[in-house]
Amino acid sequence: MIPVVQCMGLTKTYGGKLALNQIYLNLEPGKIIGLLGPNGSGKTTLIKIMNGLLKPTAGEILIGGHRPGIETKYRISYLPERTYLNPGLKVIEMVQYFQDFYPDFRTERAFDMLQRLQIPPNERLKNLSKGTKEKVQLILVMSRDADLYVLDEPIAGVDPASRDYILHTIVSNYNRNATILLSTHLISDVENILDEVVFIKYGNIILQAPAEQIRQREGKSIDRFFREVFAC
Amino acid sequence: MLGKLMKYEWKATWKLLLPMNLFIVVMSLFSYATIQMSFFDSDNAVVILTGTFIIMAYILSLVVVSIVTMIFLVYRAYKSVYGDEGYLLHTLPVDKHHIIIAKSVVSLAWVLINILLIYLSIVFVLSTQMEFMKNVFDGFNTYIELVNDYADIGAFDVIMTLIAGFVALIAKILKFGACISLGQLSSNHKVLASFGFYYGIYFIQNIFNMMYLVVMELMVDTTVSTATMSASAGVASTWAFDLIANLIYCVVFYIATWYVMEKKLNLE
Repeated sequence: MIPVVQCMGLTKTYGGKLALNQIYLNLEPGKIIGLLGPNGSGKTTLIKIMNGLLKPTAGEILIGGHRPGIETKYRISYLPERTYLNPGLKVIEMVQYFQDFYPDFRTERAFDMLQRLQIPPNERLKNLSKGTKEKVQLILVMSRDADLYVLDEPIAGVDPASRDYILHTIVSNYNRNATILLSTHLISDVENILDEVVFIKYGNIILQAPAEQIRQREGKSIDRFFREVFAC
Repeated sequence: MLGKLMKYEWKATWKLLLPMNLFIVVMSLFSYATIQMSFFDSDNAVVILTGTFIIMAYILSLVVVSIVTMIFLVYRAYKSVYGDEGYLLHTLPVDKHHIIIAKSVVSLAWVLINILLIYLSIVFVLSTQMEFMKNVFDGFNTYIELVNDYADIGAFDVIMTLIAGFVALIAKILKFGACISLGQLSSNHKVLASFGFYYGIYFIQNIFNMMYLVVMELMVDTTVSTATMSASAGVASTWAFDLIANLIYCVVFYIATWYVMEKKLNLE
């Protein structure tokens, strides 16, 4: 089986500063994987390289056997850690935008989620709160039938009450054969949905293991284990 | 995908640029009415002052709208390609060539709309002064006749000069795109680097222009017997130089933009 993501000696430096240090990583399909690490550990850099937004300094990354390009963009549904929608457009226009560009976009699913979250489709994005904008982005991203969902800090900007709904939205709306790569530093909120975890520290992958295995081996929650590993 | 990119580029730009350009139409109507209603023949100082204010505001609106149109298009290109919105644009399953073409075509359309509106507006407002317009046309005809005494300028030269101007406009738009893109190669101060590239390219273009003038100066035969032929050749070589130089600029700027987007993209 071809790994959904393959990193081979992947390295990224920013003006001499090392962000990713010769990473070797394989992610298998059909799993929810947590990419866990403190701020500045290289999570977002790795995700941006997957999506072709950054070019690696050395090494290679393959998505379903392909280098980042048009082919991989059809397969990846990406939620960045920032607001990337044109604020002048209405929610409904962004739905049409995604429908126009992504053949795997499911419009009915998007409207269903908008309705459940009581987000008015005719409202302009600039009139929505930051949290609601993030929910709109998540709805758009999860309304695709992608092979790989890459979610960069999907719950960082929303209130704790909304986090459960968002996680529920993620788990209940993805294609079961697909992989979800979820980056966060809010471990306790996501740990129950994870099949596998990847710990990243100072640009190095220091652990990749099934979530249940870690809990059994360490005799503690992943959140607690994370705090010990990344203790300052 | 190209058509879809152009559709959304148009959607993202018309909300500001259409009202702004319509403002020129409104100001033209006001100015036309001011002149037509003989504000300046009034005995009342307030009426004359109001008329002066309207005409000044009209002239200012022509200048401001064309500058703001250009600044907005450059800002929009930067924001949507290398700003936050770039995170969506560059994760769409579209060819980078399509992104460059879509943005350039829509920008070109707005610049042309703006130029056309300004020309039409000036003709419309000046149509109140038929005597003045007649003098302008007479002056223009005299100028053409004078030039034709020395050079045989035909319709072909006029058409080629217009085409050269059109290509120069495309080169200008692609130049902005290339400078914004090349600025991204700087690890810090990307905007500053873009300005640096703009002035660097401007300097190089001026050197080429000067080189052309020097070569022309050396080549022109100033003897009376061949003056007509030389002047004709001068006109032809001017549009030919402009056309060729701007076609080369277009290719260079386009490739530079594509190279950065395709090979060196770094949305940090």
